[in-house]
Amino acid sequence: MEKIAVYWGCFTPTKQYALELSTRSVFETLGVQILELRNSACCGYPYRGVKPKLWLYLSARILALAEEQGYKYLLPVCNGCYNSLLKTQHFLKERKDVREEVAKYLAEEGLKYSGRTKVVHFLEYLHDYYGLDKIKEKLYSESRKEIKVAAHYGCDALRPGEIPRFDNPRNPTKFENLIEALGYTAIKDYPRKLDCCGAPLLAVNPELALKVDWLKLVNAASSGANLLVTTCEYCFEMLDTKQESASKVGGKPVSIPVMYFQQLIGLALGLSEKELGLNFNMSPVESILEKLKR
Amino acid sequence: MSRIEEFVGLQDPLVCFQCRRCTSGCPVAFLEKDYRPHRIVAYVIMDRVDQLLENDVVWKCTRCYKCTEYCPQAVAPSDVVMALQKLVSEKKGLPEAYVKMIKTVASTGLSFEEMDIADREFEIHNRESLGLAKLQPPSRIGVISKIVKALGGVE
Repeated sequence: MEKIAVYWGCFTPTKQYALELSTRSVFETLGVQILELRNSACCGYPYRGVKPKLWLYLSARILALAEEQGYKYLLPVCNGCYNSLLKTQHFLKERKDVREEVAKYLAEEGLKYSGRTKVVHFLEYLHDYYGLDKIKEKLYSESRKEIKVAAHYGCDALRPGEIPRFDNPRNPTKFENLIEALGYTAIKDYPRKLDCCGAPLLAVNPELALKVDWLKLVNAASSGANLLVTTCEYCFEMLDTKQESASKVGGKPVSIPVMYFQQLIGLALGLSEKELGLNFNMSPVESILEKLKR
Repeated sequence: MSRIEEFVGLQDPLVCFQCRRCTSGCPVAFLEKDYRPHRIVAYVIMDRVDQLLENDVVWKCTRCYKCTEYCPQAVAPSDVVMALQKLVSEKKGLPEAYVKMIKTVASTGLSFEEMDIADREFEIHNRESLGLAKLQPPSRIGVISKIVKALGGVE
């Protein structure tokens, strides 16, 4: 495959360091070269409702940077950025007037947007580009079978499905395939599997954000999963970092180990807790960590 | 419909026939009695948007797009709510959290400043202590900043 650039977004490089650490060390160990999208900034996604033009400008700018730097493929680690870039491509294709306005702003930096960049999700990269079979060949271990792992895809990875996605938006399976490729038992379905973590509410309605978070966590825990995994740093912030706060707001305590999927693959690759930022997980991961190292 | 000048999505709320599928799947509607996406769409169709803007109901959407995904009419209730958020921001001012974030984008390129965070042992870390590269604003931050301030409506 051609070279692929990674776009880190805002929240990973400023707070969710565990995602940057684990993504970097996993790619390095798998032999995938990480190329940085230089001069990147925010993709504008939080402002898509209140300031749509600001969003479209910032998002188109990221895509135009990829073109300027010769990258055909762009991998945003954040689900929000992923959806932001896909939605921008979809919207600007339909709306010539907005496309022309955005082009004027981009021209001030000498940038051009054509919309031809292929935006690739982390799960899509592993499953379809690196290859599910290759992951299985390298990392499968029968001894992990007794551990049940539930996947949280995150809304922005899948919806709205009118824009083509890497997986079926209503019945996705690729995350579970990857979990099983490592040898774990994937929980195929659980109540509210495709529900939200609540993160988009944090800025304006933090208490409701925690209620939505709690609803998701309670249902994920009810599935009997030993571990809940995600790839998105906003989802992780809610499911892991804010799990205790969610318990307080929800009224009924909830307790489930949560990890980045990058951390789980990293353990299978033999990487250390430090290399994967596992010291930052606030959910009860210690209860299961030793078992996962097998 | 004249009240909603500019939609974020490309859908038409007028075709809604009030089947309530959006509401039945909405996690916020499950938790909050006053949040009903189908009702919000109905208010828009009846041109009674002012009533919706009287309280904070439009800020309850978690933007998960479940309503939009499962709508049989491609109404995109989530996009309707976001258009209402825009409308209320223009009337009553942008929520402070967004103003702060947009200002941060204008100065650093990113929506947040770098944070010091604690690990499970309460040890404090930052990019430098973790061996991650120092963050730098994009080289053309001056140009970006000007456009972000203009489009974001911040000083």
